[in-house]
Amino acid sequence: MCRMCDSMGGGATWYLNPKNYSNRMYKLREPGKGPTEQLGNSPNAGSQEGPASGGGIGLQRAIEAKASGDLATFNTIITEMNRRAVMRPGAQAVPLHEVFEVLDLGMPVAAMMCICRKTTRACDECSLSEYTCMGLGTGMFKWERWPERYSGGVEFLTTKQAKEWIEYWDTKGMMHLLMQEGGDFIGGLCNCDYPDCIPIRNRIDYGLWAQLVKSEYVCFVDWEKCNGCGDCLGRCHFNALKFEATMDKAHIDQFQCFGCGLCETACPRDAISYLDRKKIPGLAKVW
Amino acid sequence: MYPVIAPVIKINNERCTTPFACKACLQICPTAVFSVHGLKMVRLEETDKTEPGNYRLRVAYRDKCTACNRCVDVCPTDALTVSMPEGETV
Repeated sequence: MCRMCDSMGGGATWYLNPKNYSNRMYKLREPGKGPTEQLGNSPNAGSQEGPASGGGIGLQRAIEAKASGDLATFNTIITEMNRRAVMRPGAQAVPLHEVFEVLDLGMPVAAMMCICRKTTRACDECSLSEYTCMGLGTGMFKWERWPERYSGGVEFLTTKQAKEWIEYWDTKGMMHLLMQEGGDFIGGLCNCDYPDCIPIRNRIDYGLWAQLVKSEYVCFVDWEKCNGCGDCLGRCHFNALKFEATMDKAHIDQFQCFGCGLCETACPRDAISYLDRKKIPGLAKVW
Repeated sequence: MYPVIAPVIKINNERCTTPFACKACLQICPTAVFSVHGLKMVRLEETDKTEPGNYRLRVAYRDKCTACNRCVDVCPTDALTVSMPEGETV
């Protein structure tokens, strides 16, 4: 994303800059600046809503307004939340090939249970075959301090194991999010899907765009190679991928596309490729 | 987007005491309306999911409720009621 790449990328994509995986990231805070301002906190004292739950009381009020038919209030709250979150992205979609590059850069890598899925579906993920979330960076060495957050335990993985594990979830149809959780640091790499994942949900259901930012890419179907087999269909979480029946080909709406690459990894003919978002004038500012 | 009045979901927290251990409504809801939150937090200790009152069920995304009543049917403690707000006709 532009701002992140400008300030942290060192001339390249921000999450591919090795500096951003160092211990320094955990100590970085502008002088005199306190913890990031939140729009209200959870009403339940001691509740375990972490950064993953995002909206807090602001979103609850917005949803309550929308459910009672008061769209004006809903829009006001969402606009205000977006305004405050402009400089604090929550997560960014990352395609599989860049996930592998990230895994080569960042250490340690630890698989764990997903806090979103625990909240929305009460899933008790407690072994490597069930874990869908991944902690990345030196912060993971202190995981035992928060047994609530890591209630299913944590399994530290080698880079090779981590790649196999991520690839497994990619095959199953989960997209990958690099979690920033509102700060300039890399906290984890999650395997996410709708509706379990709170950032995806907040973005596509309620328009909180800063909680999930699109990837650096846009997917593109080469119709010379696409034979309309349909293997990619059903993998898109964002309603971007359709089947164009009259042309007998897959079709991607590039404004809807988040560039997560799930369709690309499913294509047996390499008909789908990544275009650099920043180099397409009409999409360069569509995040 | 046009205004749609969503159904009202009432949770009786005296009946629904261990939502995390039960998870029936959480996993059956087609639009994933519910969420579950821990109320008890003891440092360096994992919260017991089977102890009554440690977790609380909450309606997080009421605007997504379709009043299909699957959660009401599946609830083992009859703690849920789903209805359209007063004055709303179907």
